[in-house]
Amino acid sequence: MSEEREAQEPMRGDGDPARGDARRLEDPRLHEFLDGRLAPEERAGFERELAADPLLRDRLRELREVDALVAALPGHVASPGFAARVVRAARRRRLGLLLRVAVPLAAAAAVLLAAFLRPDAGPPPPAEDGYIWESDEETYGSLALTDLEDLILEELKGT
Amino acid sequence: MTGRSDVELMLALKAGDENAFTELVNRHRDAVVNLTYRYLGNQTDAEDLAQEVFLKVYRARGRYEPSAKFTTWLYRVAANACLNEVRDRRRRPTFSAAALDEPSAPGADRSAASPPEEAERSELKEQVRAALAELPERQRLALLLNKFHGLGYEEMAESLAMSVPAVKSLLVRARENLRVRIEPYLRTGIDRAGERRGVR
Repeated sequence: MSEEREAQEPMRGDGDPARGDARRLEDPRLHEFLDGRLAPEERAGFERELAADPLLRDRLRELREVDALVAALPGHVASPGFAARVVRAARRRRLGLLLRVAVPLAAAAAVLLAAFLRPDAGPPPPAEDGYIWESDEETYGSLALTDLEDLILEELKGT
Repeated sequence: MTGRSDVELMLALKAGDENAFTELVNRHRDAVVNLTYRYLGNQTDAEDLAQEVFLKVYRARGRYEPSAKFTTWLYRVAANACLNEVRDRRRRPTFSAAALDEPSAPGADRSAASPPEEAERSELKEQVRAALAELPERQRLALLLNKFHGLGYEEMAESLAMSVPAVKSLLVRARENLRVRIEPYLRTGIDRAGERRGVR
């Protein structure tokens, strides 16, 4: 063990050289150094440590190599028709949404219109037994459009 | 048109300008496809997922507020899509790590005619790709965003919805895990063996 390293071990390794090595090699400053995140003063201090510590230097070299190997992996650019496909898909989805909303609305409106225009539309006359009909609003006000549609169809069937 | 910033394009899209969307897709398609490709390791899946990313951007146009840098927001959408995709695939019985191991680029396969050095390089690339594919999802994503897309800690934190210290630690673990996995392939330091012998 070099004098330099012997001087460092008691401070960092809790008396166990192997554990001291491992601890030094897990130093997060290695990564911050690689990422250029150390402040100038810290960087200078860490560079001094690196110069004095072959194991730390070696680990830095390995990590740098890992970065280089990852960066060298081939990528893949979008194929020629990609943008056109995406834009088409966006339009299709918008159209789909419009259809999902607009078609039921139009159908409901048509049914309502048909019911409104029916010649005999309006509340039936009071029954002979004296039963008083509720107003249209009371009867239909809280019903969903589809229920209303069913009701109208039933009424039409009955006429 | 060409001079508009990403944010201006997004606001134009929000206001109903569909051409702005085309321009945004054209501008960022390669970055998004590259990220999804490196994350999934498969060209077709990568383009499908990239398309989903842009469709999410399109659907979010009405809610868009330029509070962050557009690319940070875009990477956030892409990162979520990547993480969701892998989660969904895990639920499907057909998914396996082997799906991430498709040979990367035309010509990247090891043919018998390749000179030994080229074959060695190719093998190393495959090992790195495989090691990358084995990393936990967030670690892989962090490494890709940092190494390929140049995102700093702060931007990564926003994209991955994490704190800066958490991102830092994620990156440390990613790099360290990768180093351990490909250690046998790493170039031996010139004086390493001798130094280690001398130290122990």
